[in-house]
Amino acid sequence: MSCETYREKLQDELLRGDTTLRSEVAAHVRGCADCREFYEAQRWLLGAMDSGVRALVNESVPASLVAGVKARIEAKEVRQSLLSWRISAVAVVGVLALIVTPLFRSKLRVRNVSLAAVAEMHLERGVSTSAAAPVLARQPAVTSQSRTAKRRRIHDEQLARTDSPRMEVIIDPAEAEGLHQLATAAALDPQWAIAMTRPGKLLVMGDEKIRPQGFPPQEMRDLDEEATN
Amino acid sequence: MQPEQRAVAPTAEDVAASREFQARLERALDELPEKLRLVLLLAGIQGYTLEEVAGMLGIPIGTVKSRLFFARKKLLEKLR
Repeated sequence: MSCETYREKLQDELLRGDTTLRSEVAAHVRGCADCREFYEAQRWLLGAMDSGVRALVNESVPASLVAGVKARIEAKEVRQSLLSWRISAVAVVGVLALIVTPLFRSKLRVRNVSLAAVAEMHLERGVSTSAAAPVLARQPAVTSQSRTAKRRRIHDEQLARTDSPRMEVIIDPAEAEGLHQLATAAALDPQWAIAMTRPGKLLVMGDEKIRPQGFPPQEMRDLDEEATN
Repeated sequence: MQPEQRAVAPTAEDVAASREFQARLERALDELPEKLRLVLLLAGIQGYTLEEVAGMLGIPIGTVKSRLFFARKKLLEKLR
């Protein structure tokens, strides 16, 4: 490397505030009188420059102003810290709500599902009964004027056919979808139609409760656990 | 034997305190780009760390360091 290159390097190191030169630059400076003189001159000039800047700004900037600005910065940092804490708290509450709400709702959910409830749901959804259980297919068409009367009649007929007690069914969109799937499954498997008609007498085949085809075991486990609670 | 009379070289602090140098320095500072001058002056204020300067200006500390480097380099060239 030429002396010019070494001088650029040593100047950059001085400008960065490095206290010691890198070994290759230091070795060249030790062996080159001109570069050593350049190095000393640069160091001296930089020292004067930094001292001059410090004297300039610290003379023109009162100490009280510096203290005031620092206080504002610290106050801002505290506010940001509080804000982040509040955001964290909201996030925690949100996550807890997501966890607790389904648990709470599971306590409200009825453990047995009557076919009448499924039929009502079908009627409300306007789902075609052609693919549903035979008992559902027997339900007459629904008009807006007679919907309430038909619901009551379906329910009464269902109660007459089964020995299950009257049940209140809490239906939300997710549950309605599940009930719809159960009703569809009952159409495919007569055993499920029987089980839904008599929810207190789920058929047991061996040690395993019957399950509608196509239902993942994980989805059914929650219902089974609720039924045993 | 008469002791050798040597002219004592002024220190950097002595030069920095001189009116002539201060005037040159102020002119050189005026010619710096605003971004570089601001970082140089804030970093020169006693009590401010580079992290605090970065916080004041809302820029990364790496940007403060690079601006400080180029500010000193330009200022050095003007004072030379």
